[in-house]
Amino acid sequence: MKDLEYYAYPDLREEFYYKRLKNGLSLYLLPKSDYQESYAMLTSFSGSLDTGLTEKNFPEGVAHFLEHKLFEMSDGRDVMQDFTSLGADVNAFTTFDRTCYFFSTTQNLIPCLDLLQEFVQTPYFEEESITREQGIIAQEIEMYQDDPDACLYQGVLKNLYPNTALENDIAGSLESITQIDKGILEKFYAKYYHPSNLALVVAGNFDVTEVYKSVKAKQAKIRYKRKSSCERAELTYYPVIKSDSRPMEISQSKLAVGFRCRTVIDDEYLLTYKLAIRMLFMLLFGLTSKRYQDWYDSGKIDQSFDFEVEIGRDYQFVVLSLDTPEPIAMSNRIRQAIKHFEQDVDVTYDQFNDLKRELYGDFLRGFNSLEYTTNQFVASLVSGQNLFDWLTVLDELDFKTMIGYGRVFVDNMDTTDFTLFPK
Amino acid sequence: MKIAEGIYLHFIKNTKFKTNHIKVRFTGRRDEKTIAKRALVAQMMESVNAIYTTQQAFQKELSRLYGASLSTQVTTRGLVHMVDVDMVFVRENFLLRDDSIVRDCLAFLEAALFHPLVSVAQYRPKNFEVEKKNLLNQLGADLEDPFYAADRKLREIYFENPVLTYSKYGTKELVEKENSYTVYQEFQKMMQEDRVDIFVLGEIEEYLMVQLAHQFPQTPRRQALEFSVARNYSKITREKVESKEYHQTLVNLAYQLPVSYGTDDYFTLLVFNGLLGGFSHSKLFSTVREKEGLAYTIETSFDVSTQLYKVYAGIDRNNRQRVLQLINQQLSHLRLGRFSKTEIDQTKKMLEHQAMLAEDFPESVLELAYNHATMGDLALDLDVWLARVHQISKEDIMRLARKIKLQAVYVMEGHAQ
Repeated sequence: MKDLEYYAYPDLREEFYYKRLKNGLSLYLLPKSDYQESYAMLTSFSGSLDTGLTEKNFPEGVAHFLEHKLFEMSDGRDVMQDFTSLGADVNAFTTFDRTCYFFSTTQNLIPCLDLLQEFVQTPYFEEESITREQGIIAQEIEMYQDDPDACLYQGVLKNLYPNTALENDIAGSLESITQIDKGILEKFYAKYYHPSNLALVVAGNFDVTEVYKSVKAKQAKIRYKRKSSCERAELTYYPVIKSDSRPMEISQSKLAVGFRCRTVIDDEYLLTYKLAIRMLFMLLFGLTSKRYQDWYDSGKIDQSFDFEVEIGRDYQFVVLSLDTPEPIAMSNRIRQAIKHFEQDVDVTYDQFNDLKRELYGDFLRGFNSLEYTTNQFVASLVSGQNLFDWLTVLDELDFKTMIGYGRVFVDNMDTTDFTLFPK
Repeated sequence: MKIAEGIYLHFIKNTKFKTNHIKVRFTGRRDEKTIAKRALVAQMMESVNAIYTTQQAFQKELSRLYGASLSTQVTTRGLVHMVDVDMVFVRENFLLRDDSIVRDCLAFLEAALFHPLVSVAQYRPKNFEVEKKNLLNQLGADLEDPFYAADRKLREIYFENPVLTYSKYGTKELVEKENSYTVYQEFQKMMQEDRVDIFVLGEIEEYLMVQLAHQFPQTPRRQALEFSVARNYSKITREKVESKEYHQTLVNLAYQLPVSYGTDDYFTLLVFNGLLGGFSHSKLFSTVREKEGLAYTIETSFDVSTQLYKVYAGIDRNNRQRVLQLINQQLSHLRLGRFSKTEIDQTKKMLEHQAMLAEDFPESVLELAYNHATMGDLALDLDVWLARVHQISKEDIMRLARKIKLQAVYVMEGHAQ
């Protein structure tokens, strides 16, 4: 296919094709001929953060609300039914910075692809159904409010980023969703669903030429409004709330320690920075660390101990979460460990190299699942890279660089903790 | 391949995944006396052993082996309890530089299986106590999930046999009673008496696996395994309502499901469930959620091995009667044949999709292999399976819908401010 850019990774037995279509939509095709499944994901690079962070032009939860509503077609029918008739599974999710619509099929890829583009790129909103959707989403929000782990995470985010869109659930709040109406959905759609802000990734068992031609033809038929600016407003950094807690129906205290960093990293180095911070935290707190072993053996932590590294263009934070009988002491120990990471017994050159092998293995393993591969592919597009760039970054990252980035993070970080304790 | 009576080795040649998968499955009885012990054995196996005496050493070796994983998993089916030891590692041709890890990975698995960390006829007490506490914590944490907690409550009122109401790890009380001696004894008993199936998915030389399989005590294993258990129909529908500090109210319904695996009714059940609650076009999803906007979660699930059919939903407290009424109404629509051919066809297509997908996931390939090994002729090949699904008629579905009877209702009423 001459039209398409081709990228091959023979060592991994993976490849993909890329084309930016005339209307601006980015198309990525990842053929996997020995799979039954084909999996496609159409992504708008807009998410819960796109409320106009400072001025809050949109009510919180609008991206997620729109995600729900796009499934409704102009004649009032639910597009899920059409996918079902094709024997395909369809769904969607919203994150901080993207909204993804996807399906899985084993038999009808081309008609499913048509349908996916059709429903995401042809908005239709009806007042009455918007009211009904508020009821459904209210239940969704309440479900998260009853989930201790979701509450813990939301609690620590609120401490780290008060008065911003990050302080609320991605789905918004019971109050904010009542402010959403037809006009707001249309406005949000016009701003963030221009084809140039969309990417379509298709992985699975298909003929590349056939899929390319069909998407090209479909996109040529889709109507869209003139492009408007969809730059994300910059996140406002209010002082972190140093500590907070609340009671809940749980059996043991849950602690989350959050670190927020504020620094500017060039796009080109974002992936390296992200990997370096993740590796540093894995060395300090992972299953292979002496610290984990000691804490585990002495009952300070259990298998629930976990951490999440979130580094994007607009935000950089790490959250450690644990069930523990001694939240206050543990918070201190965690903070101390990070501050003095350069002297840490687990942050060694040898362990760093073993960890690189581990991450390489994890990376390969991910390719077993088309869903996972597609998800990861899209996630790396958010930071302007392709999935395979990650491998180069992993290969090239050296110990000294990791230490250097670790220092950048630690020198520019604010810390908080949030605790849920049993009633 | 039969290694001894009750010890089997199964090879599934497959090169589409980037990893090799070995599953060693111990199958024994799901019994009140042993369930917690077996869960603790699983917990010990994935933590430490005589070669890797600390968790740190254990994990460091896995990290060095390109992020290989060794984990255990406990599951139940009818009156059968299964403990799986799963080892997953990257296939040789994807490794950097001419590295080889197969033998090291097998040695690692061997250590986990055959070299427990013992001191005089017991697990080393210090490690045992840590793992026991961990399991107890986990049992507590699991119940913090309202949906899971509500499901456990529903089981308590639906089942008469206590062991069917326990989690797959047993109960807190049962775990608390165990010690490093009793659990180590159970480990030895599993080694001697459990049925053992070893599944190898990927590319590993046969003789290496045969050597491993021969390390199991070559004693014949002839336990009677009951993969399904019947439940008596009760004329009374048991109901329970409890008030909790949650935002959502959860309604959970249990129906008696007189269907066994592999029978005609079983295939009817697949279609019936798809129509009622299994998919997004299903009656419950499209009515309770899409049409009336009453729920975000409204789902069904079934387990033929214990004859349980479930419907559950997360709703607002004030809508409880309405939702129960709708569930009842939709079920009665199925009984009366108020559903279209289109809906049946959609459901069959979705079932076909799911069945075909199974080949793309190592976990489901392994599970299908186990079904073939234990269910014999009842486990069908894909094309026969599909043909059976396609044969199901509207009348079949109506007939089955009439057999499924409500037996228990549990409502967890949310009263959070």
